[in-house]
Amino acid sequence: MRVRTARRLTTAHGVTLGLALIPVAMFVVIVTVLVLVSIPAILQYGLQGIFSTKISTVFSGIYTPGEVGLLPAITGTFLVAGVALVIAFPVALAMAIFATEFSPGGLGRALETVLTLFAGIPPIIYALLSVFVAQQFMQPKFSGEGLPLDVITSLPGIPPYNPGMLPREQSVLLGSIMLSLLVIPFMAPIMLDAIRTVPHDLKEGSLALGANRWHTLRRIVLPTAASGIATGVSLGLLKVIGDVIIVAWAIGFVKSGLPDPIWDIFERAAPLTSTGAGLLNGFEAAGTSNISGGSVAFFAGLLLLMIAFTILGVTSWLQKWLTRRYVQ
Amino acid sequence: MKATLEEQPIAALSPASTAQPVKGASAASQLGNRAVPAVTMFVSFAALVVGFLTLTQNTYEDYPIPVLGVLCVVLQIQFLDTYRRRGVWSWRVLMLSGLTFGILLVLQALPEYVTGLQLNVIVHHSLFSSIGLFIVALPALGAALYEWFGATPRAEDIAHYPLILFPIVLVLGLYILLIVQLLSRGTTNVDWIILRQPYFNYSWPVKEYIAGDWPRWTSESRLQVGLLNYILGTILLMILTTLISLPIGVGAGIYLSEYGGGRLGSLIRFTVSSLRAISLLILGLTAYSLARFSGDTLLAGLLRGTYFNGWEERLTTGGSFLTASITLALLIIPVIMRATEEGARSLPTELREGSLALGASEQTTLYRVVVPWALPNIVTAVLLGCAEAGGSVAVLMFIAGRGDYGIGITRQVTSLAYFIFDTYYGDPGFKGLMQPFQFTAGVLLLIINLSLGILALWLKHRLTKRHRGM
Repeated sequence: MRVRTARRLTTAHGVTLGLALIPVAMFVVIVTVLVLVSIPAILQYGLQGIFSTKISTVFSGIYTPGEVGLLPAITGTFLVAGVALVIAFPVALAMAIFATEFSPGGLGRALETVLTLFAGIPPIIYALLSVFVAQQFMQPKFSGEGLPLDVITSLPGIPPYNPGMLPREQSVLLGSIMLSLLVIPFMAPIMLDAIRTVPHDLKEGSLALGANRWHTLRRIVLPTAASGIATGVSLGLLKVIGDVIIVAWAIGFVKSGLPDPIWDIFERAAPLTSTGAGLLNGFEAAGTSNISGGSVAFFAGLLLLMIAFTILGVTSWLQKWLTRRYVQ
Repeated sequence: MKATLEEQPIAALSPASTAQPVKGASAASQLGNRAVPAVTMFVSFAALVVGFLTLTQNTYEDYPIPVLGVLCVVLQIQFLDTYRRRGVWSWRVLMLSGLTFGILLVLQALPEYVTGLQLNVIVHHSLFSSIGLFIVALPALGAALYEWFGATPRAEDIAHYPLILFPIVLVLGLYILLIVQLLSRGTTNVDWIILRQPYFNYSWPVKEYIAGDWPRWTSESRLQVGLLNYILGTILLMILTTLISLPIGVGAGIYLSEYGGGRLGSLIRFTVSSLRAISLLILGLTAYSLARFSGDTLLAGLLRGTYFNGWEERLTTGGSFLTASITLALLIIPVIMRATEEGARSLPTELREGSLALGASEQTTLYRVVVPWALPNIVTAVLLGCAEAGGSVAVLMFIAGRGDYGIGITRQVTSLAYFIFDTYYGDPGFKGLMQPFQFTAGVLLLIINLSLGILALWLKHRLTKRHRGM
C-alpha cells in the first residue's frame, strides 16, 4: 500500500519527470533520423535495389557503385542469431539450473560471481580472440588444413569456388561461437532469477509427494519459470542481433550474394549490423560520403529496429502464452 | 527435512523396487556390487577426456575407436550385472551399448576429411569422433553413477550431474583458455614504456633561419609509439558517460517507482527499455549523425570536436568525446533506470510509512529513505555501465580518431577499445606500427573492466550492509 501525503505536483515529481523524458525524446529523435535519412536511399535505389542480393563497397574487392542489396545481410542476421542461440541457450540454461538446483556447496554462488565478471568483458576482446579460435579450432577442423590443393579439388561435394577460399579465417560459425560467449553471461543470470523465483511451495509440494529433484525440475520448476527463461532468450537474441564488432571481425563486413545452400553456416554471411557499418565506412573511404550513399546504412539500422521490435512483440506474446499454459 | 526426504529411497517410485537391500550385505559383496559401475564410470570418464582431446587436437585419431569399443563391451557387462544384482533388465543401457557400436561403425567408415551437401567446408574426422564420444559417454557416465549410488531416486538426481556440468565445464574452459591466451600474448615482449607515453604521429611547420639566407619553412615530424592517450581517453569517456547518464537514469528510475504508475510511466518504461533493445549499429549511426548534422553551426565545435594544428583550432572529421558520451549514455541510462526502480521498489513499506509518520514530507522521505535504500543497486549499475561504455566500439567506430591531438571534452574521441579496432582496420602504416600492442590494449581493457566489476560486487555488498543493515 502506498502512502501519499498530498496530491500536488512536488518539485521532485517535476524534476524526475523531466529527466525521464530526456531519453524518451532521444529515442524519438533516433527513430526520426533513421526514417528521414533512409528515405533518400529508397528514392535513389528503390526497394527492389535495396532488397536485391548484390552488394559492394570498397571493402569487397571489386567496387560497383549502386549495388546496395541488403538481402544477404538479412539472411546473415538470421543465420548468426540462430546458430549463436543454439550454442548459448543450452549452456546458459545448464548454468542457471546448476546454480539454483544442483550446486554442491558454494559452487553455484561462485559461478554467479564469475558470470557477473564475465559479463563485463567487452565485445572487442572476443573479437580480438576470435583470431585465436580460428587458428586453433576452425582451421584444423573445418578447412582441411595442410591438404594440398589438388586433393582439395578432388574431394566430393564441395562448391567449385572453395579451394580458393581456404584456409578461411571468417565464417558464420566462428562469429556465432564468439557471440554465444558474449551472451551466455547475460542470459544465464536472467534465467537463474527466473528459476530462483519459482515459489517454494510448488517445489516442496512436489518433493514431499516423493518426486526427486530432477523430476521436480522438469515437471514443476522449468514450466513455471518458462516465461522468465523466454525473457532471457529474447534479451540474448537482441544482443546477438545488435552486436557489430564481433561479427565484423569474425564474419566480415560485406558479403555479396546469398549463401548456397541458404543455411551454409561456413560461409561469410555478414549480418545487417556489420554490413551497415561497412556501407557507411566504405562510402566514407570511397570519398563519396554524400548522405544518400551512406543512407543505405541507415536503412539497415531501420530494418534492425523493426527486427528488434518484432522480437519484443513475439516475446511478450510468448510470455503470455507460457504463463497461461503452465502457471495458471 | 528436504534432505532426509531425498536420501530415503521411496519404494513405490523407485524403478529398483525389487532391489535387494544393500544395507545387510557384507563389505566384500558391496565392493562386488559396485565394481562394474566403477569400471563403467572410469571408462566413460576416459571417453570424455578423449573427446576433449580430439576436440582440441587433430592428432589423437587413434584413440576414439578403441575407447568406444571398450565402452560398448563395458555397457553390456553392466547390463548383465544390473540383472544379477537387482533382477532388472535395464534396456536403456543395452540400447546405449548398441548406439556406441553404431557410432563406432560410422566413425570407422568415415574418411579422414568429410565434405558434402555443397557446403563450403572440409570437416576433419576428429570433430565427428569427439561429438560421438560425448553423445555416448555422458549417458554412460550417468548410468554408471545411477548404479553406483544404489539406483534410488536420489541416484537419479546424481546421474544427471554430468549432463548439467558438461556444457558448463566446456564453456568455462573455453573462457579460461581465451583469457590465458590474451594475457600471455598481451604481456610478452612488451616494453612497458608504451603505457607512459602517448601516441604521436604528425608534422608541424617550423621556420628555419640560416645565416645569410632568407628564413624558410620546413616541416618537422614526430612519431612516438604509446598507449597513454588511449588509456586517458577510455577513462575520460567513462567519467563523462557517468556524469551524463547518472542524473537521468536515477531521475527516471525514481519517477517510475514513485510516480509512474499511469500510462505515461509505462510509456517511459517501454521506450527506455527499447533503447537497450535496439542495435549498437543504430547508436553508432546516432553518434555519426550527431557529429555530421551539426555541420558548421555553433554546436559543431562541441559535437564534432576540434584539434589544434599549430596555428588554429580546426574541426575534426569525426566526433568529440561529448558526442560519444551522449550516445553511450543512451546505452547506460536503461541499466541505471532499471536498477534504481528495482531498488526503490524493494523498500519495505514500514520504512516509508515510518518516515512519513514522523512528519517528514514526501520529498524528504525520497532523499533520506528511498535513495539511500536504492544506493547499492545504483552504484552497481553505474560501475557496470562504465565498464560497458569503456569497452564499446560500435558506438565510436564512425567518429573516433587516434587521440594524437590530446584528450579533452571537445577533442576527437578515442579509447582503448577503438585502438584495438583501429589496429585491425586502420591504414597499413598504423597497423604495422601498432599491431604488436593490440593484445596489450586488450589486457588493459580487461583489467579496467574486471576491476570495475569486482569493485561493483564489493561495493554492493558493503553498501547493502551499511544502508540496509543486512
